[in-house]
Amino acid sequence: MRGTPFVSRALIWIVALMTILPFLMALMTSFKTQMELFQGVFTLPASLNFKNYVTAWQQGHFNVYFMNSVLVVIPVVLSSILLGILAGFGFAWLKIPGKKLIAAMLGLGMVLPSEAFIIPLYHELRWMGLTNTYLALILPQIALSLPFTTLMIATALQQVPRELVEASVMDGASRRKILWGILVPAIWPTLSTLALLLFIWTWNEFLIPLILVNKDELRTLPIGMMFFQNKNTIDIPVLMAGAMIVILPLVAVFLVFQRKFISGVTEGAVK
Amino acid sequence: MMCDSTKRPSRMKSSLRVVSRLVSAGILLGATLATAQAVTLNEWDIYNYPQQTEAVDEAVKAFQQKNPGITIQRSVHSFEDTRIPLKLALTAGDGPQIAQVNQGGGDMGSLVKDKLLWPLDDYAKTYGWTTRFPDSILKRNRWSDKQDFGSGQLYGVASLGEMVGLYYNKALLDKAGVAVPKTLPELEAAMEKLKAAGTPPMMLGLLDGNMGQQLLSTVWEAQIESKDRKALDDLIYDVGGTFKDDKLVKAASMMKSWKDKGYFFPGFEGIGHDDAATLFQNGQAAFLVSGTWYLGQFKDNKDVHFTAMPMGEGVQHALMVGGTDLAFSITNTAKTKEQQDAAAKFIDYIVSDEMANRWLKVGFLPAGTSKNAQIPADNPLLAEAYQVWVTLNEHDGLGHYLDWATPTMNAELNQNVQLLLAGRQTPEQMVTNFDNNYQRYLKTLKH
Repeated sequence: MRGTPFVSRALIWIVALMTILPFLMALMTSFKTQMELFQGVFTLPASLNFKNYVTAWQQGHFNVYFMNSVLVVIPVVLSSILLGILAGFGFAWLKIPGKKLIAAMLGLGMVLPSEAFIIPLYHELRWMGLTNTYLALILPQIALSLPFTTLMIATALQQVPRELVEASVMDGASRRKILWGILVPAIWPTLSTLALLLFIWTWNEFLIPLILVNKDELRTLPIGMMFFQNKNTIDIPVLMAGAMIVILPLVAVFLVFQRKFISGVTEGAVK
Repeated sequence: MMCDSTKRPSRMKSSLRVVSRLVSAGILLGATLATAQAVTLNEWDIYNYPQQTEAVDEAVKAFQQKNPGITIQRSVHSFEDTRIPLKLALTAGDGPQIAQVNQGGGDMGSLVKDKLLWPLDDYAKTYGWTTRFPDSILKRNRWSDKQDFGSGQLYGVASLGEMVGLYYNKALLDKAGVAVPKTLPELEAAMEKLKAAGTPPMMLGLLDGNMGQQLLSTVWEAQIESKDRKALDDLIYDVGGTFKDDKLVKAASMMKSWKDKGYFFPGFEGIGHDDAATLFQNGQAAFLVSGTWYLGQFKDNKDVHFTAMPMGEGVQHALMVGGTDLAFSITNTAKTKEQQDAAAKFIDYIVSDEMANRWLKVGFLPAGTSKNAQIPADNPLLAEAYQVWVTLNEHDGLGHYLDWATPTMNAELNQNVQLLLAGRQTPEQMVTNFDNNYQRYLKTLKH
């Protein structure tokens, strides 16, 4: 940062503060009582009591939902990336009949809102006997992640220098070896960025767990947030505590991946 | 690079409700096989607050002890679950046999239309629900074969009641030497006096609109004699009528004049309804017109009391805005007569006096009224509210939330009340807007 002019530095700090301030306010609110809430957003809570967190954990069924979120998010991220690598490889390096058409269909999959197909999807899964199972949460989310994952991986693979691949073809390496030995390590930053994005999207998905399972013991965290809203009143401090529980893993994952994430985002911008 | 994802959790849109109407009927049979000795019923309710949940758990235990052959498998859901997820589960044939259903066309009405609920009229006779509850309460759960709201067969009974009345802070009234007002003119005089004494007279939070809407409805219905309620009933149940009512114009003019005289809490336009309630609880204003859902929150302040809404001049027994919570219904997944009988038995227990006492014990207002109700000694506020509830129902005076009239009326009311208080439209214009919305909707109903 040394050498950056003062103005741009100040600008970066202001943007950073604007981004983090709402989070800090939510964090602060999560320690307050209903009474303290009205004294103003910026007043500090009297004590660091975790009562709201306990309430959220028990009343909002977060104890059950947290585990479910984990059980859903891991298979979704892993399977999406694995299938995305295979499909992306096909798009980037192989001659496939109808490639353009398939790509267009994938594009369509990216623009359809889930509200448009959730009801038919429910009946389809019902017919397969999958409603109210973990598979109902996992399979559709893999399918929904694939278009974006495939396109992003295909783009990244195309940017790998051709010489690298050609050299290994000369050496008589098999396709499998080329993909897993050369291409995948070359696009590692993209893959970690993707994993992070998929994690966030899957973690925050609301509609699918709401509609496709109606057994409470199968639901995920975003659904828990609804438990503090009644028709007429909302328990805001507890709601904030719930929100904190929901976003904490996201923040943790992001902090671990942030270096990779930033380099993944700028990948391709700098040749 | 997609930065802003389209997969953010979003609130359910009403368009989804429209889509759900396209859902076709399921084909699979329910998996519960009833044998002659034992019946197992699944039940969905939305009592997720800790004291509520304990009360219902106790109720289930007590009920099963009384009826050894019946097992109730309870699962707690959020309010949102009683809409699309419940409907989908029922059309697919694997929903609960007993469920809480939200009143109104979008929810109970659409379930009735798809024949997913059993009519309860025979059980209502057997168990005497029709005498336990005034007609005006049960009407909210009635639907005819032609989809008329508020008449025809009964599809549910509710366990909890709610109403919008006047909360007042006794300490602030005493300080200003003001008595508890019984009529609207007395209320206005009291507010004048409080204002002069430097106390903000009336708390209001207009940011999200519903508190303003409830104040307007309450001041309107406070001028209506409960024996003349038919016109309002017809209006809400979409039989017909008009919002162009002098008393509604008067209610709107009153509200506007209260604003002009500075009776509302300063800055009320930017305060949300829950924050307004918390401000009132902390002694920031003398009056608040709101619902019994705040009883649990307000009982911590011993200065806060609840009373009937001050009535219009010359009115003996006025209507009060209110209703019941979600009704308990028997769904079509209760296939056998035996299951249906057992479900009805459970619903009867949930609306019984014994259950009512349990509700009172944990601080909630039961829908039924009973002379032998046991109100906890440490909750005088609840006792006051219960008294108002009993008196109100003696005169069949439970009025209506106006937003039930049409699917879009809620937004219409909220926006127009905000415009009215901002001085951007007259009471007459506002009432015309309501009526236009209403007449447009009536045209869409097929009769």
